[in-house]
Amino acid sequence: MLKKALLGGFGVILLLLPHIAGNDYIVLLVILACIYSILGMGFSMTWKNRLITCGQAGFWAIGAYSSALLVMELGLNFWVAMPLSGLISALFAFIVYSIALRAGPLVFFSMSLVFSFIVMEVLGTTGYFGGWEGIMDVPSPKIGGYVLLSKTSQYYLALSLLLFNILVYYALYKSPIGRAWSAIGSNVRLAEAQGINVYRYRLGAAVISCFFAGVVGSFYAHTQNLIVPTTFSFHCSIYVQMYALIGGLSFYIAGPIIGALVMVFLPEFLRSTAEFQPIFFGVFLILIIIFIPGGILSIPQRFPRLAGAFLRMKK
Amino acid sequence: MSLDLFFQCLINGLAIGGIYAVVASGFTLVLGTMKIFNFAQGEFYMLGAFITYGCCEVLHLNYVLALIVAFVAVGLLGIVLQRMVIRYTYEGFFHTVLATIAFGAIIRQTGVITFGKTDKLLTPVVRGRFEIGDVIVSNEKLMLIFAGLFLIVLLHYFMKLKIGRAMRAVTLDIDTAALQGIDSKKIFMITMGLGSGLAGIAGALIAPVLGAHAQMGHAIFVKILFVIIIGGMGSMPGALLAAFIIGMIESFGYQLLGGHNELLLQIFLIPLLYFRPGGLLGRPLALPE
Repeated sequence: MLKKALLGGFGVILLLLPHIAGNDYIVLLVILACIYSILGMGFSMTWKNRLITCGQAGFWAIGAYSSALLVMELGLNFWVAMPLSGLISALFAFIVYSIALRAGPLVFFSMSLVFSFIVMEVLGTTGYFGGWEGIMDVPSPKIGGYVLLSKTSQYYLALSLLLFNILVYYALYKSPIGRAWSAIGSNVRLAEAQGINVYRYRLGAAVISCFFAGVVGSFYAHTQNLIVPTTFSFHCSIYVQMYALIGGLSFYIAGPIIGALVMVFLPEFLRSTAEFQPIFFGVFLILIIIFIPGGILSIPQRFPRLAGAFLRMKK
Repeated sequence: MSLDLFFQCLINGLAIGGIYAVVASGFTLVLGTMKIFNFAQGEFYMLGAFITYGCCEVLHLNYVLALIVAFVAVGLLGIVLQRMVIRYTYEGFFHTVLATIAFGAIIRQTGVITFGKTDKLLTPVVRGRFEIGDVIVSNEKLMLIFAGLFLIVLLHYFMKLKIGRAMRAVTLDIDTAALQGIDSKKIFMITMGLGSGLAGIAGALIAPVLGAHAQMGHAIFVKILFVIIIGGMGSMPGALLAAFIIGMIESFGYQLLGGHNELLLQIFLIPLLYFRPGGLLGRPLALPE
């Protein structure tokens, strides 16, 4: 009951945020948090199969660049280019991951990392993709005659994208596919013995997560109107993982969202010390890993007595 | 390609490959024995270079002394990482990975704040060159090659000692090793110290040639990843072989194609993994649950 009330309140706040917030900057930060949540949910899906992907940023970049080029070079509509860029991203993911997964999870992990590094390097050094200056003046999305220029309209687009993602992931996790993923996650050997084709299910999870990374890349390109390769450095993939861990690794949908929301707003309180931010983040992350390895959402489970006392106090 | 250019590339490839081999062997040692990915390895390499810079340029110490200081100091830092952070992250492999990433970020940002983002150049330690026919070889490169090979041979004989045998036993099976009276806690500390120390000494070796830069750890870490993927996860001979292969590809690739080394390596990598999923000399290593 309490959980539902909390969820409802959270949803209402998110829905009304542009009208409450007052300035565009907070809205912009929440848009960023939405993007990171979607990337993080993709990461969580591979983590459900006990795979660790470091390639989210690379596929995000592929989505952003392919969407920008499809719209600007071929003159396609944004709404057509968005799923198409997801498909292109998924195609790249299929090629790289189908080979990397044969060699086991550890090679998958390092290959995805290397791949996201290479994507940035190639985008930065190739003249066709605009080099390190990137692509400027990417057109904003349009609905009929209305151009989604204001941050508020883009915010609702981001929110609906997030909602769509949540629904798809939720449906996937409830379906037989999701149950197979859970089986793989809890015990790979046992899942294999039950007749689950581990390789195929893992590859499926990795490719689907990259599809959504591509879609959100397309959204990013058309709302920022400017894409530069350094945005998509492998540090970004690490941030995605970090947010998912801080939110809670065993909460496959809520974890990345909470983690991204918290971690997007946290640097705002530390803005005066920009130089020391990575150090602060590093110490913070190490402390979280040591003391709350299950993430923020695991706190009520970890300290049920504490949470119970807190709830009684509220009454 | 003329013959002298060929030999030039060969020498360059051997020199850079030797450095990769030293860093990657430290990484592989830690990966094999402790089953963790040490993302701070690249930063340890950067730290080694800066310690050498501090010893040679600021304190005006002997270069050989600087090498030893770099090895010991970075090794101690590795032990600190193991004792203070990794020991507490037995939640799983992924937690340890993120913890080492965080530790590496702390070291890198400290380096950026302390030394700035510019290259710090050292006065060359070894000068001069010699010529065989048309081939010109600088003594610096030769020193790198010999030092790299020397360290690898030293590591090989270290692994034959009693303590090295204990390390290999822990690599194979930690529980059985404990039954034979091997203190795995001690072995983990020694492994981590040795693995990071090797990165430190490699950084110290490269510092007089290429200078020290706060971001150099990132570049070499990507190379280490290539090395362990190609060579096979946790396989020491594989890592050494792959390090020299990558050094050669980089040296010849740069000469023949200019830039785009990473792309070249990746193209080389993908078909190889298709036919040999475990890398050149390894077998697929399972993720520790």
